[in-house]
Amino acid sequence: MIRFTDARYSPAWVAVLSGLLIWMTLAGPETATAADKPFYEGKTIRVIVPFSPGGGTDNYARFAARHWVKYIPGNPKILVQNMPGGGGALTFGYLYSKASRDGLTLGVASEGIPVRRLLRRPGHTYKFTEMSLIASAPSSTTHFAGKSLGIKELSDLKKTSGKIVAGDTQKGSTVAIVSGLIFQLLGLEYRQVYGYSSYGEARLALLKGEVNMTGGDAFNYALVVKPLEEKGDVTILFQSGLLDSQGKVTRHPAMPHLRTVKEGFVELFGKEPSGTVWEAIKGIIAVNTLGKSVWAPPGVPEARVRVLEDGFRKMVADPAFQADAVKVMGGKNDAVIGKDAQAALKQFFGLPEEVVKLYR
Amino acid sequence: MKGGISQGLNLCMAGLFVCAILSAMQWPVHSRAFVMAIAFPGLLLTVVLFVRQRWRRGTDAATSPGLGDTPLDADVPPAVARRRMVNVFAWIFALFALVRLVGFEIAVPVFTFVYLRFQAREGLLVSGAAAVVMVALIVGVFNWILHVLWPKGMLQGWLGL
Amino acid sequence: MLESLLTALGVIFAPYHLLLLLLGVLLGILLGAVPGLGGIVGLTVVLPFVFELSPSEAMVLLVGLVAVVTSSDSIPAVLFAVPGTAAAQATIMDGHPMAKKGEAGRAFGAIYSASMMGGVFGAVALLLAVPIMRPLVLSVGSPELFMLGLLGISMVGVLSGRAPLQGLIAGMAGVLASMVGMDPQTGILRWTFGALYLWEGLPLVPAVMGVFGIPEIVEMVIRRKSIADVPRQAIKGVLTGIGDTFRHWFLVLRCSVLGTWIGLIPGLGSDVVDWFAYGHTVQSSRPREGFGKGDVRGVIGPESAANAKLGGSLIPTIAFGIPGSLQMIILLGAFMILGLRPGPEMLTDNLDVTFTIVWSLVLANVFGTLILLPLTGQLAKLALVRIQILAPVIISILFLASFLTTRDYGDLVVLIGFGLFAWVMKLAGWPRPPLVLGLVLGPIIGKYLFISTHAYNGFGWLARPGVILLFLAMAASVAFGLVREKRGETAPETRAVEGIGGTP
Repeated sequence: MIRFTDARYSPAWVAVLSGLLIWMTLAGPETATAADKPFYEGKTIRVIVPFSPGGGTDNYARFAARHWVKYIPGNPKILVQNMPGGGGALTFGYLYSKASRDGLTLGVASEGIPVRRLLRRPGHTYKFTEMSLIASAPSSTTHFAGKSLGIKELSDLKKTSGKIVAGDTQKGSTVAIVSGLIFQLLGLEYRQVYGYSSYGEARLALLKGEVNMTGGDAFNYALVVKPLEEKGDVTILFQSGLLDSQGKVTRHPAMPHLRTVKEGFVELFGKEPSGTVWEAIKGIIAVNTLGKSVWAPPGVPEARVRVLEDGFRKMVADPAFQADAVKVMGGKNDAVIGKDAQAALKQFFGLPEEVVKLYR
Repeated sequence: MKGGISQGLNLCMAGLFVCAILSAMQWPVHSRAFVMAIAFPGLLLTVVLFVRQRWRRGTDAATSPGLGDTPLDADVPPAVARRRMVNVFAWIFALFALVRLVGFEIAVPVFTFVYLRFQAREGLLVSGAAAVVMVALIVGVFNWILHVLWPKGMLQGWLGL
Repeated sequence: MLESLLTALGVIFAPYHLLLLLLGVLLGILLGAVPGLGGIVGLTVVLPFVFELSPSEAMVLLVGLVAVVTSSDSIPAVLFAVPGTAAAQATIMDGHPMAKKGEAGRAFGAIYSASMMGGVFGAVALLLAVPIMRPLVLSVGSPELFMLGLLGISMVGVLSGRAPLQGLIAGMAGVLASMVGMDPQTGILRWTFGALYLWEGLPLVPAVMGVFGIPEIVEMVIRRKSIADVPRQAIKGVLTGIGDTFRHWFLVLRCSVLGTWIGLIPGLGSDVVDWFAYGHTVQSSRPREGFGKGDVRGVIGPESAANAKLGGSLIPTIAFGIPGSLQMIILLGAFMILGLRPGPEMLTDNLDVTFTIVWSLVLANVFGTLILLPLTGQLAKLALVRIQILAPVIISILFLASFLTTRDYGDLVVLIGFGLFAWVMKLAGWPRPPLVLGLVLGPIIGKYLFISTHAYNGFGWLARPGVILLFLAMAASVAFGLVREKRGETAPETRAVEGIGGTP
């Protein structure tokens, strides 16, 4: 079929072949650099986002990456890339077993990825304990009602049992899990409508009156959701909150004026929440505390992990970064660095089966 | 011949619908309902089509020489057309294998060159120029501007590059 | 209001702004013309530079970039049946046959002028929609979106020509294929066969490239001729094409309205616009014999709609902060970085910013067409190059473009798999467009049907006025088609659409 008979081994042909060889060598990896320079000088760090561009995790990664490199000695370049698939399984499987262990390939996890790991969804077989957690930016879910539900104050919530129709993206998303659990905790009857392609679309459905409850996160609270409340379109009920180092539920720094679910429960019932449903909510709060987390593959040299951690720590301490965070992300951007963040994760993966069951 | 292909394709579609229905059986009702709503009518239609094509061949529009552009019986003799068809798909699969083997950056220029030189019997100049254009496209547009990191081929993996 | 309009005009005509707009337009043209790239890639590439520019400068650059992508993406669509972006799918239907007839020049002339008029119309619509944005966007709920999806599916008839049964079957197969991936309703995985890659569903771009691009290149290689199957002198001119657009000005207007309207509804997605426009064009045109064989109206309709869409989709983005497409999500992100807050303030306090966007849209579309038109003659000559020289280049580009979708080898498997399947369909005389239509509309129908029944707890939503209106529209269009069929008017026309690339 393919005829090689007229291939003449002329000098030109040899030249082409050798050119090809040169091209192959050039396409190969770079050689190592001298040892006395900072490791990251002249290098490019690749940060992999496990979702398509445009989502919350992607936004955060692109925003933070831009600032982060300025605080890493040697001023490397940084490249944010997307590797969607398997709800994060593709990226974290890659990081866990395939990615180079030189500290130049990192990944960002959303809140949902540890949940899917906990539930052992297909493909989620990587081990967080063997990977290095560099830093994490705590997030928190928010929950708000539309006009049609007629909630003026929190106490009105009790009257809405049976009328609640919550709009969500898909079964198993962090917001969907936690809002379902909250309704259960408060003893409210509710219906969840899945299928909106984003919480932005669910919010639009809320404005149309198609659903009367939906959620969001700390990153769009000040910029998008708060203005809606000011116009009277929505009533913001609560945030899930964060866990502090003592394991107590606190408010997210970007939403200091919004009550947590726990505070809401106390306000409504006059006592502290307890029981498995509350434990399950606390589990999600632990994951939220981890928030958007930056991971390095297993086996990256300690020293390089420290350099990256240091850079992140310096970044969040810089007022210039925080000013930009307020402008772009709508609020201050805290971060928990390294091992400290691992604690929340350990608690999450230690949850008893009767609690885990509630996430399914 | 076209009628035969059409019947074969129809059978294939019917098989597809049956597989869809069977696999959806175990799903929860919300997932199952939409599959059934599509696959059952689809299966029914394949049966109708089968009957029409089998017994009303002369009157059915699709089996009349409608698609005059079908190259196999147009201006190329069928035997030649079939050979060329197998040939071009072989090239497509070859490119796929080559990409897996050595990665895009090498596979695409090599494929372009080899195709032009040995399949199209173009001169070295044309073949080389086209390969260079592909290199320029990959390096210039994809690598430099867009920072695409192409995956390495399996060969580079074996060689430990 | 008039004052803001003029202020914005002053802003945009500052030399530096004009230069940036031009830069954006050039970049957009390049990204549109290379398959696999497009507005989204372009935005992520220029995003880092946005921080170095002032808000108005950045805005002009970004809008210029996204505005023209949908003009130049028809270049590979017409020449090689490979869509430059997802917005050029329907352009293939008549654009590629035109190139085969040696009318690539005419097609480009019509496409660029229609794109420009559509784009300008979209900008004007954005301007006029300013006071009524809110009710306009909020009036379309999930039930209406479901009905729109059905309306789209009813076009299978138009797209199947003489083989309506085969078209329906192919369309249903397309809908089933679109269900691959995780079901948001229950979280179960549908037909992923253990591949993580398939969790997010089959990617559209490699599938469309497989369905249209592969069979065309295979056919051309078998025929061993150039794309244009005619002598050199038969290449018809660009001016004829521009004339065509002006002759069909009413079609341009109708499709622009359609494009703007679909653009402003978040949720329908940007991939359906040109199919809606194509369906409308075929349904509303007399005579219809030539469609699918290279009728110039078949490119004018989709192209004017594709460019008009941008103005429409900017409406919910800036008025509500709710982007209707991935491109708008990224554009919104960029706007936020620039310190722009979407919301009603865009129509009061920040009106001059909105008008800057409007003017940028208008100028970008004009610039885009002015740059592209002189190139057409050269581009059209590509249709005369021996196919054996183009073949490896086209096949390579199909591979590269598909792979860029998710950067997974799965993209190549989808390309080749759909390519083989589509080739068999072509051999068997089955229409391929319904397969793509099913793939595009399947998720929309499934999603909004479920949302409607769950949110309204039953089928009460069927009584919504919008639903009834859309149902009547669909019934009328189907009934009209049937009546005509009975009278025997449609008999000869339909064959045309059986397969793109129908050389008589």
